[in-house]
Amino acid sequence: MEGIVLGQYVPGNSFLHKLDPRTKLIMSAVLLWVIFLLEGPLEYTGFGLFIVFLYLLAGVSGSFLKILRPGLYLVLITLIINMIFTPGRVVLDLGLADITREGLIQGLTMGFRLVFLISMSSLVTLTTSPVRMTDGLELLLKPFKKIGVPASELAMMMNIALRFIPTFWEETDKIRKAQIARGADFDSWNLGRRIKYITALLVPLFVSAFRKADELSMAMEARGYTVGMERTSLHELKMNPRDYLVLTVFFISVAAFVINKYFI
Amino acid sequence: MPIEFRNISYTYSKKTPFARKGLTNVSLTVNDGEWVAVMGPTGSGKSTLLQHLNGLLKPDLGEVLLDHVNIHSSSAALRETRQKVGLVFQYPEHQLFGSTVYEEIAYGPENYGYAASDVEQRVKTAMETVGLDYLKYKDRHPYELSGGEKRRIALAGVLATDPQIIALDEPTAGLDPSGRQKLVETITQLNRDYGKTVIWVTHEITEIAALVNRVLVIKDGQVVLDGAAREVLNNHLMTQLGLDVPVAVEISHHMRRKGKAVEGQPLTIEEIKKEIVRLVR
Repeated sequence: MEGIVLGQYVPGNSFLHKLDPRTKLIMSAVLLWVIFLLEGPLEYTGFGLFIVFLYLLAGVSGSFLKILRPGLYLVLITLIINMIFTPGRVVLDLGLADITREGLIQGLTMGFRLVFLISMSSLVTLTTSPVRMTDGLELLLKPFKKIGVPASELAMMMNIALRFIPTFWEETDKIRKAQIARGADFDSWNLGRRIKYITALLVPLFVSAFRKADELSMAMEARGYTVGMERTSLHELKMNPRDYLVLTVFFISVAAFVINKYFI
Repeated sequence: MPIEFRNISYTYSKKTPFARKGLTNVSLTVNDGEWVAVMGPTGSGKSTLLQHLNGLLKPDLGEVLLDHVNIHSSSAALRETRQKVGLVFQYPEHQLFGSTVYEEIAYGPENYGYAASDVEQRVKTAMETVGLDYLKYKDRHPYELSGGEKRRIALAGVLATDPQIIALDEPTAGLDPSGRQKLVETITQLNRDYGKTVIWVTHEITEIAALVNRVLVIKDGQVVLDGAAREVLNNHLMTQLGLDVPVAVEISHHMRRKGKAVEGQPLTIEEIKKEIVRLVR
């Protein structure tokens, strides 16, 4: 249990790393929407290549497969269910279930959409440090403060949650190893035993989560954290010319794609 | 049963941007009944070394031999190793999960499939060894006990499978002085009276300096010093690495710098006292 987990930051110095988090958040939000507009093999291939290009540009291509691994089962299940349960022209007769042409297309479409969604949203977290990410989110949410959205508190909560993913991952690993050292076998096929082992893992993990939350809130209060207070940040985010350039090019391209697709 | 490391190398998070060396070409043998202290700066690979002892980590290169058998040769060998080599992690009380002390300590023996009556006997023996009264504690909830008691329960949980080799990662960290002393006494008893091999990772050597046979110093995943406690602890490399040395060693270094001819390699307060008295006369 080591390596990259969903939502982990890979430090780097690439073009994508240097972009303002707001630029990346806005673009990824738009691109997530664009994924649902894609039609036909050409557009899917194009978008796929675009994602590969972005991973290469960011220098995090090594993390690509690792990011996808947890979602792979979901993709496979989607593919299989769609292949079997969509009515249409049969291409492969398997007796109990038939694979239809429409099902195959539908399954592949859904599968690729999932892959795109996972890899696209992971790209943002891979290239943005949690601190910059929350600063960016807070600034994006700022206009909504007037209607009562607790922007900085939300950002703080997200920051803490992100900050603790690796910590809990390590903690889980440590407890798991301690239980294995005492003869636990997490790969056991015996369901009863397995539940027992999982309990022995979850109980200390929850206790440690509560302990950490307690310590953290105490430490924050000791350093004067008050909800709703106006705060400044150490590293002010600043939109650079390259951010405006990238956003301009990006929105023109997306607009061109949409207009070309629906209005011409 | 001796445990032997043959040219062990291990890298964490291989083939990712986070890759870092854990151990590099480590070879060593720990014989029956030895008490080895393992020291080294933070992140030098002490915990990595411990996790190789019972196969929690599998070396990238080299092999670990327990009683001349490669512990990764079969799953049966690995299981046997985990039973023979008890590993007590750092802050083991954070890993407690049982709703009673009995359940907690019985976890290990139950996992290894001992009969119920046997399990009970093992829990009793383990609790006796760590100095917890069986009848008084067995039905208590682990979380309502003190830090020192929790730590002893966690230790009993490992001892209950009757390991021949006991490896401990900073076992006295965060305990009060009496808790520390009790724990050192328990381990001394296990080593002296029951002939258990003890591998003790620590930053604070003073409390066990006079008890250990051997000190092993690791730096950047490599063994840099290995030998009798007296020689290693008096080696100047220890202070250069910023590692803890017994007070007696510090005093003798200091006196030598002042031009006093301290003889031998004093290790305990008694020994340095004799030297000081000798030099003053």
